[in-house]
Amino acid sequence: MGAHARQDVRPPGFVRWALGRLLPRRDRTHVLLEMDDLYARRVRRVGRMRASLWYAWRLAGFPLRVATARFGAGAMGLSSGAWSTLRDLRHAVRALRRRPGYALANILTLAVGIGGIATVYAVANWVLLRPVPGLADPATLVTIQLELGGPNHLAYPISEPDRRTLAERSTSLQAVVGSHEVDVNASLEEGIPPRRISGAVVSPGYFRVLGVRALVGRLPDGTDAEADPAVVVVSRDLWRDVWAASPDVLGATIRIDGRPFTVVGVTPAGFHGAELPGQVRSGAQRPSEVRLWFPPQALSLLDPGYGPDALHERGTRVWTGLVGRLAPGGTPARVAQEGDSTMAHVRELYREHSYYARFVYRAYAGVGLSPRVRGPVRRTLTLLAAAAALLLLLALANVTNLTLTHAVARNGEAAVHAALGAGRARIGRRILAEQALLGIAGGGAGVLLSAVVIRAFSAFSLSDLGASLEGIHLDPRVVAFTLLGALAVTLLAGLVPAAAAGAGDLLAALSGYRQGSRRTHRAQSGLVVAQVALSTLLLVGAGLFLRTVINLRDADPGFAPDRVLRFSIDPGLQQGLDSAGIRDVMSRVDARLTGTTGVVAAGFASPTPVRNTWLTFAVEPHEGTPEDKYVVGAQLQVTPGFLDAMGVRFLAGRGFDLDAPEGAPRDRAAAETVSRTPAEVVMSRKLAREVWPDLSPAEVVGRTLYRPSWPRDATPTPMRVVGVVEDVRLMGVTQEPPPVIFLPWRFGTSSGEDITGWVRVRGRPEDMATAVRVAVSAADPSLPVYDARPVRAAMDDLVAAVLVITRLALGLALVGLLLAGVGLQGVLGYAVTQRSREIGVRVALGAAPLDLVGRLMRRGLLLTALGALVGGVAAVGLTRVIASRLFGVAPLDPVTWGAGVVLLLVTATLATWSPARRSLHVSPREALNAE
Amino acid sequence: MSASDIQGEFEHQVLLATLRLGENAFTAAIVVELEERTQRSVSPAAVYVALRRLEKKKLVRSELRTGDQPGRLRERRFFVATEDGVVALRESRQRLGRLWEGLESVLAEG
Repeated sequence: MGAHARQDVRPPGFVRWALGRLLPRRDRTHVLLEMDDLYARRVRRVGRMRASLWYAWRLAGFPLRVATARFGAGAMGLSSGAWSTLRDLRHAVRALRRRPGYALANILTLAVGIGGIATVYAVANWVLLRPVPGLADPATLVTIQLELGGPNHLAYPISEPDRRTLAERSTSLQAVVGSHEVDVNASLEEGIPPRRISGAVVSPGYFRVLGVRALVGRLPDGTDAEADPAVVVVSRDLWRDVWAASPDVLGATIRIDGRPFTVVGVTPAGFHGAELPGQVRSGAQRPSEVRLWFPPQALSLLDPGYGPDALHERGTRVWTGLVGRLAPGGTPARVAQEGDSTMAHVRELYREHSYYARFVYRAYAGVGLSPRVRGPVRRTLTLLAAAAALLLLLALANVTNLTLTHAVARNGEAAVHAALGAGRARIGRRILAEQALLGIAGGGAGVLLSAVVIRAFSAFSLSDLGASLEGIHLDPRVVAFTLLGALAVTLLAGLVPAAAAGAGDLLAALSGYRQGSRRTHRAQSGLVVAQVALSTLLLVGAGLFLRTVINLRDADPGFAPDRVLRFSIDPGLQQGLDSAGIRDVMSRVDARLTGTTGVVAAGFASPTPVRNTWLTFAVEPHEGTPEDKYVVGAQLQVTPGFLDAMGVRFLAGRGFDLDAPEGAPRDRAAAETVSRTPAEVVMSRKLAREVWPDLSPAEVVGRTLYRPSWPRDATPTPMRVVGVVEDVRLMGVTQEPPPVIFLPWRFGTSSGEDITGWVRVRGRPEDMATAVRVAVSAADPSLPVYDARPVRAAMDDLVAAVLVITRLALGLALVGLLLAGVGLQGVLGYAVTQRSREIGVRVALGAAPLDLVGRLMRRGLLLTALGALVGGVAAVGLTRVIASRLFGVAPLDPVTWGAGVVLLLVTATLATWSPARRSLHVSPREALNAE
Repeated sequence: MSASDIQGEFEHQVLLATLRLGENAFTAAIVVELEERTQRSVSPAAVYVALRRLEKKKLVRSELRTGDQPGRLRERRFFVATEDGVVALRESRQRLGRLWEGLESVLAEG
């Protein structure tokens, strides 16, 4: 060796140490030194990365070679059992390298089957099973909601005094905390324009009860009424992004909605409240994560709907997101019961809260997924898991098939070993060693495949699913699960061949007589039938989902989504604009837009995105006292042009007059300033039916309803119905259209929520985006316009979730079909080999080629038909399970099923092609000679 | 052939490389020599195993010494061909030569 190695080029330390342990003791030190030199040389030649790989590979090979060189177990310091296992592994590697096709087929099959399960498990883990970060002892937490009953699971807020009463009177709860979500304009850094951040005002004791510890600084308890309300706690990711994780964050001042707040603490990594990060709020398209937390005293500063005494008023409803810490022996059922009795008690004492009569308390074990979303999420995941399980079964069937075929071919080899004195156990162990290697390789490939698929998935926010996959990654549990699963599958598949190895007629095996037993053949055929059956199941499911997706795209949303552009605009982000200023700017924008060429109609709506909320009215029926109605629905304040821009269909009445007075305000702050002339409202068909179940839309027009007022004994605000429209699927076609009420709006009384503009155009909506920006900036040059897209595109997004599932199902189905086809081909090919003598004789006797092919094809089609029959019966059961997810297509839809059958036939035909050709080329002489 | 004969082409090569390197024949050096001379990748483990076999057959002997490469004072195991080893090589060469006789024209590259 020429130049000496540089001292600093050393192989990877851990590899060197670990593999060094495997070397014979007497030579360990200097072999390692020698390998260091060789490593250094290699680094010079091919670089560090490849040198490291070479190093690991060669060093690992040491013990194997030494073991097989029969120096004796003692030399290695290993037991003889380990020694022979190493030898078996080495032979297994050689055997597999000689049959790369077989090894590859096995590995790919495993990768797909195991990878599929691993992916589903990873998704389930991320969405459902993962513990919420930052909480202490989550098993003793319960989610509590005040609900109206029914399937909706929408939570009604409770007041602070009621929260305290609930906690005090409950023996099964140690404490109850809640939060109130606020979206704020936060100015975090000098010179950077403010941005919208999700925040929450939290009840006293919030962090303490949840067991959240501050990463930096402190987390205020909120129990001290005298404490400074203008403090805020920030999330860790915000701290990292804005303050670069520096301790200077403590004491920093940030402006929230224009007011200064002092940062006093940082929450731990991953904590965004008691829910799993990435929850999509009803109707929203992207998940919003809470990043700022404020003490309870800050409520009136951040939400103009609440006055300074809000926390003392029993009638002022504040907290949702209720979480309770169970007392020892407490259960969710007891919590719910005690909640109801507390409510009854409160009603007794405070008569004016009679509206509580219709509500019930519900308690759900654990935190993480909001109750609204748990059911649908579980159902979707169960579906995915079932599909993946099917795929796994398919993979198992295929692997077993391959192993069986291989085992028969291996009989000759095994016979040689047996003749040389190897016991049956030895041969069996060799086979298992092969299987183990395949299992590990297949599992590894499965993990890789899973990682790739998950990476692709994480780009989706499954708004339909109610949970986001952002940030999903493989965790060690999933990887371990994948590898063990693959190992289990291959060892299982290898058991029968291993047990039967070496048995049977030695002489016959040695002389190359490759007739497998009839039993093997029947087993293989049975496996193929099973594969086809499973593929049929997957095909039917995938086909139905595909039809669903197509139907969703074409479904009627209740308005005219084509040729409309929507965009978001937030004048509240402008510093220095008060509500009069906002009104000014928006009115100018509205006027400009309507006057732009190419615009048919333009309007604005708020709040957006549309979400379900509680609508409360008082209604005068034909006779009797006014009764309260509680409806879960959506409320939109809209400018007069909006309904035209949207293209809603009127069932009766008309839209808003341009001079109509502004709709009743939603919050107390503006309540004092509103006029008493009845405001006009337009409602959707559903809402009309909820409020006046006995009246037709035409009869509803002209009726009046009342908005309850604060405080309750003041005169309620009257609203007169001027129009009833067809139901609109404002939150996507997959959702049932909510009851909607439209209130006229002149941009006053805006509480800082997002505003969306809709513009109906003559040409293509994409082309109008620039014109919109021009119109807006003519009204105010510094007002940003964002997220401008055609409505049709936005709606397609909402279908995306179902599309994801469909794509997945289709993918699984096609893979399953492929595997079944391969299996079928294998069985038929094997049959040709086994019966080559028979075929030779037939050809010698003058059989027509078509006749031979026909026989083979009939066999293949028979197996396929059997499988399809079994699969079809199972599929009928399956469709009943997924019926709730389908849209516009019957579970037994003949077109879908027919397409599935055609695909199966095509696959069967293709699979018989290659064996059929082989049977044609069997030379009679060879076939007869092989006897 | 007796048990003390060289077995296989690879053992031949290892023994020859050991001879070539003279006093500087340690495992890594033999690996490098073989790779450079035969233009093929060589497994250090195979060389190690071959050397031990040769030692068992007393065709080489080994001793632990500190190397005399500049700047390094570490113990290595150095291998030297024994008399028996040289004899075995000689005999093997003669045997092969007798088999090669007359075939030069056939095996010569065109």
